[in-house]
Amino acid sequence: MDALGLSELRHLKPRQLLSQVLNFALILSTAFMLWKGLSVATDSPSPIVVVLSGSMEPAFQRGDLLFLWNRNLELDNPSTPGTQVGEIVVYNVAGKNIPIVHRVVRKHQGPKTPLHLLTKGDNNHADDTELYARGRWYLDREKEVIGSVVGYVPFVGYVTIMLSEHPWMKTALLGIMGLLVIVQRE
Amino acid sequence: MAARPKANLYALSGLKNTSDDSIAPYLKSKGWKQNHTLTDVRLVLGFSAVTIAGSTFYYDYTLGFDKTKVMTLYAVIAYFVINTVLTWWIWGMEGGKVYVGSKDGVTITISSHTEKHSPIYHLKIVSQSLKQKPTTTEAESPFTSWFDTQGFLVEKPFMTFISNSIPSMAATTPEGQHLKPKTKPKSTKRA
Repeated sequence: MDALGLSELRHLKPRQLLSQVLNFALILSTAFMLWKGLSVATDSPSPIVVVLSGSMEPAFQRGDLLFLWNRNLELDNPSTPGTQVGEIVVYNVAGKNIPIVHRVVRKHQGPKTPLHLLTKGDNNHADDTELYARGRWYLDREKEVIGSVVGYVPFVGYVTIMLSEHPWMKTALLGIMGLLVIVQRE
Repeated sequence: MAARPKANLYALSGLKNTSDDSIAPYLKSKGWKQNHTLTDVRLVLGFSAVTIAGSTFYYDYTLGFDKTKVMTLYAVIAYFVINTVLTWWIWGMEGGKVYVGSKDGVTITISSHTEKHSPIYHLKIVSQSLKQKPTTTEAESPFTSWFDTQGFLVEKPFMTFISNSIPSMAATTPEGQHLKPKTKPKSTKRA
């Protein structure tokens, strides 16, 4: 037994282990909280979405990253316009977590009653009535639409498409990141 | 895991970290009691921020966005406030300190640093006895003094360097008496 006490280094020191774990956890939680902060600021459950289909070509291509803003409902104030015909909105297919990015072609009712929107993809022949919930012919702006598009970055979202089509990549990526952070002490 | 600490001879951060890690066990064997307050506060701050993030994630996942909107807003604000405090703590309070401990009424704080691309280990030791003004000692030595060609840390020369650098130890420990110190500690009053 090493009388000089340095053999203790062989054993894992709890504080050092906790510090390394904390570093990794802070990276994950900061990324998550930034996302949540953006979500609260835009009032949208998903402030950044990726275009999954080609139904909005040539305006948006598959893989484009879109930035959403969900504070333009203006439902109670008749003098401000709110969502207009011609705006591009994002909503989820009834019951599924698939975001659809299409243009508003008609709107009904509002501002004091729920605002109803009819949407259609630029590159589609028919409007979206088939995608809405059973028996519904319009979207409820407040309840079903998660935001309207205010900006975009082309191509960048393709990584997300790859990650969702090959879910093992997500685990691999997280695993590699975690390993690097815990092993390095830069 | 090697029984003896080993570092990558070419990476300055590895040399410094291995040396830093070796200070605490050595001093413990000499009867110093380590004070973990700085580390503990950092861990508490950090894990409370992570807990906030974790519970935000949990409630958002189970209850959905609309119900948790207000709570999420407060959580985000709290998280970034704690994170700012944590960053200040790490940079301002902990910055560079690798050991805080006390023995026989003397409290020492050891900070270490290296200059970019220069393989010299700089130590700054602030030593405070009861009811006396704190004194600052600086010492430096190249890493080659205690790392062998394979990267293992050789204990004897490292311990000699440490004990020679700490004023209360230099006078009393055997390592200090028999071996000629490689470096002269400079006593300064620089903060």
